[in-house]
Amino acid sequence: MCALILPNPEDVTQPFFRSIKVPGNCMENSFVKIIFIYLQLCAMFFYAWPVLAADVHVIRAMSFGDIVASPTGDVIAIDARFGPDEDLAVLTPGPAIVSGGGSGLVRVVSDTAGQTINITYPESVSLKAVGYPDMVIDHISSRSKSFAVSITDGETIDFNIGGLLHISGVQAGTALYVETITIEVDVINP
Amino acid sequence: MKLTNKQMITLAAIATVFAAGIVYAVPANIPASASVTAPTLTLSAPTPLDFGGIIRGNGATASTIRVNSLTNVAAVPVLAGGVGDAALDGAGGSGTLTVASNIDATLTISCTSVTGANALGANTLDTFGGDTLALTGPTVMANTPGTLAIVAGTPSTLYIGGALTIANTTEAGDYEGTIVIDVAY
Repeated sequence: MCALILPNPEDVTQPFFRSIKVPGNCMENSFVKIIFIYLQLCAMFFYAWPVLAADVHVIRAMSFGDIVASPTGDVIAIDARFGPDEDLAVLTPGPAIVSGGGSGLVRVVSDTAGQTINITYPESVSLKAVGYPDMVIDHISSRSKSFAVSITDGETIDFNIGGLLHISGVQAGTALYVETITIEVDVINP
Repeated sequence: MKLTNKQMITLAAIATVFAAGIVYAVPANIPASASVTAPTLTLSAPTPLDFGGIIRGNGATASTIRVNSLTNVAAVPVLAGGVGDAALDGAGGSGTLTVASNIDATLTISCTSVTGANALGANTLDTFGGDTLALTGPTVMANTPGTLAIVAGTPSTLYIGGALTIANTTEAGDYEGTIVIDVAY
């Protein structure tokens, strides 16, 4: 149902137009004119086109699981370049035992086909636990997915996140180490 | 001034590129964690090293009695080296040290001291009456493995050996002492 309400005659006013006074003869200057038109075009494109973006969701935290550290130190790897990694590898030199854990997951839902999604990861992040030395995670970008181009509208693209965790030989004590990895998701429209 | 077609096309192209190349930067925070447990090493010594009963000889040549656990095996005392005329009663054997850990490791074993029960000298077993009996040569380490590979959650046994020299002047009695073994990752 709808109702058509006629305006009250008293409310009807004359339309008016704002006028912009351009001082002097600046519009005579070709450079100023070009810039003016350029800005108008930019504004037109920017506001007339639908604003395209992408939704970014953190689906899963990155976890290096439960680690029994070796006295000589260890490097634990999550390699998520080609997909989720839940089978963490212990690299040299130590024989640490790892159970559980897995790559982090960021899900990007693209608004439109052809969007380029590029993720920038930090060089390193230090996991912290009160009373114990920090543990560094590095090589994040080289063990994570960082680039994709959407093919269809509304496409869901998963970015799995990995890295190398360095445990020193003096990482004595039992503790839960935590930190937040801040990434930047850049969405470039087609 | 009127814009030429070329200028208009250029402007349109610039505007198009500007609009098309809009970049949206979205930050995201991903929690990261690791739960670390320190390695543990649990030791117990259920069986002492025992050279058994030794019947001292009367000859001029001393007798060496050895419990050879160099390859980490259980061993019994045998006459070794310069064999005199001592005799063994067949009892005794390697000492054992049980080692357990929560991680795979190759342990380094070292004997740091042997102290007689009455502290009468280094590398000796001794009696309450003051007699001492030296563990010969490099003592226990020559008869004990220097390394031991262990598997997490599976206790391993380290066999401890040694050697004694019994001369015809050795006093009869019960000789005792304590062997200190260092086990390190």
